[in-house]
Amino acid sequence: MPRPEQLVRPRLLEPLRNASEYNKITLISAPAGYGKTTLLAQWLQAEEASLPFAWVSLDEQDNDPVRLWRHIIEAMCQVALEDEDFGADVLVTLSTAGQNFLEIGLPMLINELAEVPHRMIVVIDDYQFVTEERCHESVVYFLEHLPEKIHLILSSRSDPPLPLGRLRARGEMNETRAEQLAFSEEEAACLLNEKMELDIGPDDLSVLLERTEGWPAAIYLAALSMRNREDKHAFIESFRGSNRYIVDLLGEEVLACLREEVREFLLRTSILRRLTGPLCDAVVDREGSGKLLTEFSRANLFVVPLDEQGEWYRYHNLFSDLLLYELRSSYPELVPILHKRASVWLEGEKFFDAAIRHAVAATDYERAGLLVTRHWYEYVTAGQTKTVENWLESLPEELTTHDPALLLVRAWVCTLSGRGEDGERLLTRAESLPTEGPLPDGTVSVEAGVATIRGVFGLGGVQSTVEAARRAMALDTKRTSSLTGLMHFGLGSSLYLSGERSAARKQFEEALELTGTDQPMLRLVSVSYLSLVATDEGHLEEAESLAREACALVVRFGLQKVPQSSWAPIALGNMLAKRGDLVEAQTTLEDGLSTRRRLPGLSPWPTLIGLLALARVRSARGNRGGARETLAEARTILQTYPDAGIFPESLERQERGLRTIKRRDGSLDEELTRRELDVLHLLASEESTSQIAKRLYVAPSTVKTQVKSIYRKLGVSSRKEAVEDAYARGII
Amino acid sequence: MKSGSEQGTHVSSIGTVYRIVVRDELSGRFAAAFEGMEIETRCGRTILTGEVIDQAHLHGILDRINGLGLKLVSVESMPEDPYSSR
Repeated sequence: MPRPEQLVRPRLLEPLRNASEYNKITLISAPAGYGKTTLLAQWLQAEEASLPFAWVSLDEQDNDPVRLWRHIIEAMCQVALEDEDFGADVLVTLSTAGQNFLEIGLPMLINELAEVPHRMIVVIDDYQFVTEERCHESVVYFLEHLPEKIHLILSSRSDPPLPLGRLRARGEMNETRAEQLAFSEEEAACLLNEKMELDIGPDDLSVLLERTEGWPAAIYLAALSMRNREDKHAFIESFRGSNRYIVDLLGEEVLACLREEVREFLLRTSILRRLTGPLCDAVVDREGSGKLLTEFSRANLFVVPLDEQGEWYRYHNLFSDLLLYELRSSYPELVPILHKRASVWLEGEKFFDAAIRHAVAATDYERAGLLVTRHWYEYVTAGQTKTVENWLESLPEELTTHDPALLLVRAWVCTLSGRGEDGERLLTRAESLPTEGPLPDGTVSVEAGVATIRGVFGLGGVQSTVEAARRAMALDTKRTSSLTGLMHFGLGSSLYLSGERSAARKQFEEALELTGTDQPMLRLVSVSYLSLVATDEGHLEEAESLAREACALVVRFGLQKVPQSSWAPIALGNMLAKRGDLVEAQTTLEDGLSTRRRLPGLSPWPTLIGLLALARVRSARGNRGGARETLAEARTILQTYPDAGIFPESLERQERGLRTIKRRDGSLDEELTRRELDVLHLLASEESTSQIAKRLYVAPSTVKTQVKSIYRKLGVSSRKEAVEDAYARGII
Repeated sequence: MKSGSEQGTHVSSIGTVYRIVVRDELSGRFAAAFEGMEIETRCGRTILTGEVIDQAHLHGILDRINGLGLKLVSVESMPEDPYSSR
């Protein structure tokens, strides 16, 4: 959120305050340069203590329902501080529901908002970037179901296609438009005479107001132009009669009466969205920018401070447009050079996202691609896969389909988001391209990179994953890759899934050695696996401490929205199940599983572990039917993964356990065979023996024999009794 | 990510020529804001004329006009030049 400037406009603040209490929505609709953002920032800063607000500034990329709402929900998360999990489920739904987000995710969000105990203001600035119909639909839905305590503020350069007429008629909307935002005489006098000490007489002020129509941006530019003028009256007269576009006219004046040094500085740095001393030095290739910026700020010239320390600034809206156009028309050949200088400095200061944006603006796609392939892992491991996805989208298709390093990054992004098949296709393509040598992120070769992904996600089946992981490590001889820890994890998990627990443990421990606190995702999954190992071996205290460490990582790094964070509750639930804390185990496991169920394309292994543990818990709590349901879910997953390590045996064992039934006197009896179970289910229906036989494709005599066997094993003598008994025991 | 197997966009037909009038006169500096358009100033108006590829392009131009705080006077599509080839 931007810091407010100095001119306060109390006549505009009052309606805002009232609206936030009595209306659903405030619409601030006026073209650029009317001070919409400034007004909101001022108001909210004044109210900060008493009125929590979520602020979202949109840009072109937010014209997509998923991105738009992700942005909004993440801002809300920062406000709903008492509830750490706020919006976590909704965000996961966002990634999967796609088209169906409106039907599934929005109602969820509304419900969560309804639970927030305090009032909240949601500000969406620059709504004009939203043009997609589905986005507007989602906002309309949101408005129609808005909980009482929430007030929405939309600030836009044009009226959004929402049912404004209806909202007005119902008195649900407060509007502030250009007419209200235009400067009044008092406000103009305040700015020009009090703040900028220009000493303009009332007649001249009137002329100025008339010519500019009160447009704040123009008045501000006029003030800048008059700073160094002796005869302000003459100046105002001269442009009174002019037909020129006022920003153009005044902008020219402003630029013309600047010192050469200042002019060059402003023009060159106009390419930056945010300015700070050293960055500007790099771009203009001279020193002293920091001082210059401070001077500007103190004299209320050109720049708006973005923080309290006076380190970062931005230019006034239309002023920066003016500068940029002047730069492009006067020095077009300089533009890519300046962007490149910015990109280099930003990379050095680890603002990789901005560095990549500037590289793209310089149309230096090679460099941009290099930056992406060099730094993608740091973002992914911190759960910011979306950022990497945005980078990839800003690169030309030629590059992203032919550069093996970029293909690998794309494969990571796909697989992490649950699109494993697409990922595998990208890997195959990467393998087919002729390349040699290490990749920018330190991976020793494309082959090693491909093996690493396959080794980590295990989508090819357990045995092939073990092979892939071993191959990755064998290739990584110099251990140069930032992904070495990941390779150990990959090997560890595939060993665990093959049943080799102690070998697995060594790998996880190695992975943790190599992983710092800046790789929370990798720590999380490694620690979770170690917890599983400890649980298997009966070291429950250790298992608990490890699982809770994993959960703490999720909270500390805000990873609730990352699907892989579901590892933590699954590991914890698994331990709790073994310890016999059945109720807590069930909730925890179901929590982790619900996340994974929404993204069916994710790796199946943690899901299977969770399902098997959940089945045990449900059965132990007496819900054999439920346990059977859970195992059936597991079996469906296994159908897609023939190479499934320890799971087929574990699943079979549990299924058998559920079929074992006790006689009434408590002693264990023969199990019902699978066929007998099928028949028993059908006995519960109204169907005759021959109908049952047809269903099962066997002869009626076979069914009769099975029925006799069922009666014997259950200790009953009629169909009715058999069905009743079966229900009672939870067999069906 | 751009998907699909396009060989590359191929603009086969000529777009429509539009004539957009805004209030106040723009100098060459701001002509850069409307690349591909010809700028003419007359009697306190600026006339932007040029080929517009599609509706998205047109709305982009109108957004830029709004973004600069310019006042839109009129937007017209011009009849096709009968001598141009398809």
